Amino acid sequence: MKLLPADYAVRNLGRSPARLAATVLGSALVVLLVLAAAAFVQGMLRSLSPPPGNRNVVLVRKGSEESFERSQVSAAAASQAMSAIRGVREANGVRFASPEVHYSAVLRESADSPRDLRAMIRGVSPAAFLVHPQVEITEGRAPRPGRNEMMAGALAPQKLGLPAERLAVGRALWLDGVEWTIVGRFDAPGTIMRSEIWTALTDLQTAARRDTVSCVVLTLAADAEFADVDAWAATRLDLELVALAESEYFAALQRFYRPVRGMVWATAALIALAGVLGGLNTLYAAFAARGRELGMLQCLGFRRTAILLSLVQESVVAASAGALLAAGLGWLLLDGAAVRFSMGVFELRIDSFALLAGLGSGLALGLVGAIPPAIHQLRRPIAAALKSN
Amino acid sequence: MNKSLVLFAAPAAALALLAAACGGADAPSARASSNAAAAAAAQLPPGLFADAIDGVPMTVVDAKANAAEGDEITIIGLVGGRANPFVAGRAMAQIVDLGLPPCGMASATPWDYCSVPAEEVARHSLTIQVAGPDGRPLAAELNGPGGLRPGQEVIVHGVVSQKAEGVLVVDARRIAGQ
Repeated sequence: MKLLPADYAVRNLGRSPARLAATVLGSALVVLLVLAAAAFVQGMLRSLSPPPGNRNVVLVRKGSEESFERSQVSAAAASQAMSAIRGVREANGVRFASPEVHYSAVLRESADSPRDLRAMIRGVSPAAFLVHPQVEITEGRAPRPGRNEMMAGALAPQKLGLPAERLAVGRALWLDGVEWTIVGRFDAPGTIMRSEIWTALTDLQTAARRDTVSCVVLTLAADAEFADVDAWAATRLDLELVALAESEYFAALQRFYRPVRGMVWATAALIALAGVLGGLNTLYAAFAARGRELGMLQCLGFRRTAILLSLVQESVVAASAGALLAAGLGWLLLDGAAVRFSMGVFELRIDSFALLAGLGSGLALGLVGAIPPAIHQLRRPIAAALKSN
Repeated sequence: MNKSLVLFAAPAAALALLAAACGGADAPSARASSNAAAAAAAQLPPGLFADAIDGVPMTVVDAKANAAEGDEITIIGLVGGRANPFVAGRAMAQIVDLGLPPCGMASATPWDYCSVPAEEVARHSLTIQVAGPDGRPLAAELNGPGGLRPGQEVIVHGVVSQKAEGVLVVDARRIAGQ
């Protein structure tokens, strides 16, 4: 079969710059939408994923498996868990066992500020930095007990709806009418902890008027298994503790938010479909205006299939240009943008999956968008095509 | 540069990026191992599950009040106390006193005693395990094929291996399901 030259298609694109611009922009918008949806999904999944090789086990009060904030583990139970369980990782005589309080609190910018700033505050001991190795202090230092000090995560300003400089080292926030000084900033890439505020465990217990902790986080030694901790909890029924693999906890969170991700994809698909239908409409008109040209090509001996391939090629080139434009815009505008949700804050992520989804949809748009109008136009008898205006 | 060449480069560039994205697509972190492989490493002792056990069994409450470490006892109870009363990867289960009312028939998991305060369930429960020579539970599961199921009434004969305030662990030698 004799094919039309490759550059015939691309030269045809230049015949109507306005139409080309509309096609490229339309494709770019659809691809940008798909990129945004994929970035949202990937960002949420990343923030709700445990770090690779995670070997943490969390002990919480029975019945509080889905919300650590509701868990109340007595000090005695926490102490026994930290000392009695076999298979907990140790270094230099220090066990990787971190008692923590997870507290959803209302902070204020000043003692009499009327504005509520809802924050997730985590009360920790120094062992927290052992069980959460991805946490890294980027400025200042960790809070010390007895001083009402705080350390703010990298995305804590976005969580609170404040400018970043408001949580700079040396500034203060108020909790229950008491001033707390920010003495440090930290980051924990790819985790939900980035949107948290950390304080000393005992200080938070005092502020929250409790002597219990929310959980105990343990890191297993290399030769230990989750079942070892689960067995201990099953033996000590009096402590009413449940052992959760941290990876399983995050998997449950991902399942919980699956409907949200599904809704994002469904919305993107519906709007993309509207874009495709609009593009089809444009191409129907564009190909109809070239009826005489298409008839003449058939008279010259080119088969309908060859002409169809050329028309599809035009569409793919234009859609690809739009897809590349969208990829560049998405990278510049969307990557790293913060999104608040109930668990905290996550960042949109234009990663390889998002690019795959976006560029793939652009190429598919070019392929699928051209075929129906091209077939419709090429089915006309040659004589009728040559007579068309 | 030739306009045609520039325009033709668009799909080529898009395809190249697509290929790169295919090669490096991220995936969510894998979930932790369920220890199923470990469970296959040990076998439950033959004859563990019996059709019947002689003697009059004690209730869980009686056993917790009166049994001492090293005593050979027979207890009767219900496999339950939580939605999954077994320990994944270990030959252990929670047994609840028959005197504690389980959740109503409308509940899909009546053996979790959802309507009973947790401390009450704990007070009426003990733990059974099938231990190895080192005294630790075997890396096998009691709820495998032919084994126990949640909500099942059982009679367990064994030796008390741990006894403390609120804690009773029985090393099971024989288990009979009702």
